[in-house]
Amino acid sequence: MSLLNNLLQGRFEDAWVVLERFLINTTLGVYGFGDAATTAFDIHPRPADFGQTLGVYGFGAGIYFFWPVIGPSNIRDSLGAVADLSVHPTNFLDWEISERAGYYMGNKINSMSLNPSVYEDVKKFSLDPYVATRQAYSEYRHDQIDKQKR
Amino acid sequence: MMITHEKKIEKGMKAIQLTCMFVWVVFCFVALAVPVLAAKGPTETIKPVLEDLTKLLNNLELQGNVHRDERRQKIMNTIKAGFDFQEMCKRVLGRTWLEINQSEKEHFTELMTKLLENAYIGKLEDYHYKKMEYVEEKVQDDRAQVTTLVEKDDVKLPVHYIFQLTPRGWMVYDINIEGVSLVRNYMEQFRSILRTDSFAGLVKIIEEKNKTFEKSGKD
Repeated sequence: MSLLNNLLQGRFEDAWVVLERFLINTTLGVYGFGDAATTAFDIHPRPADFGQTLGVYGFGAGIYFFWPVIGPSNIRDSLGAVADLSVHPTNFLDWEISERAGYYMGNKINSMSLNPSVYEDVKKFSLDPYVATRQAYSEYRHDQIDKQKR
Repeated sequence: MMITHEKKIEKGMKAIQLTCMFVWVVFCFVALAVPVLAAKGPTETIKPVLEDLTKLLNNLELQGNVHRDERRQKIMNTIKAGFDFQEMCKRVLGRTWLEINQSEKEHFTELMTKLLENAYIGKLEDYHYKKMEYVEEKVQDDRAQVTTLVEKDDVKLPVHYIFQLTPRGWMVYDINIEGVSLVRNYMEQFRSILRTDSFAGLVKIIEEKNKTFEKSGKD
């Protein structure tokens, strides 16, 4: 997904890094479960998603909402996530839709469990956690898209 | 040809005029140049503040719960040397700032400073970064931005300090990390509260929040 979106955004150098990481990790990193590319070769990930690609092409964010489990998003990024799912590597495996959905959700829950203090910190630092999260998400995504346009 | 008496006076007057003009030009140059030469730039202003802050956070004699109050007092005094909390509050409140009186402004600034202290000092104390680089300074009229790179766990995080030129020199009023502005975030939260509640209601919410922090600190 990152490779495709880096190419769509014209980030050819980042696309090469993504390809390089994929090749190293599938050979040395036990088919993607380890991250040999970062630990051994200091090639850090260059994330990109379709929501970001849409933003680079001028699509507005649309209304904000907070998906259960998945977290903050907006119309553009949600549509982008659907597009990302359609090119997710699990689509090329012989899995049922329920298995793919379980894998994707499991990934999301796993990434949240690595940062359990984030939600507690937002509640602690803010007077209105919903507005604080909405504003932070909106500005962060805007900054990510702006960086790619430069 | 002998110069007449009148012409001597005229020549004398012109000499005095030229001397006065020269003295006036030198005076203006000195009067304008001295403050310009003396005023520190934004990076020169924030650097010693951040260096002092780092020393305080790494000072072994101030670590632990026993020295908590003394440590936090010193941290806040250091931060106040470079941060303009009143300007921060003015921007966070927006139009409401113009509608409140001086006493309310002072009280709100005190509450907001306490809120930020309660919310972020603990995080600051836990955050041990490897090093900080000063990578860029942008100045436009009376606004400036200094970009630093903070390295922690092999990740470099850009932190932008936003300044305004005040009679006290360049003072920070906002911090921006990965595009997220501290001032804009609180501004949106307060706007949301002020839509359904008055300024007095907002003040009460902040007071309650500060009490919650104090209670959890004592527990």
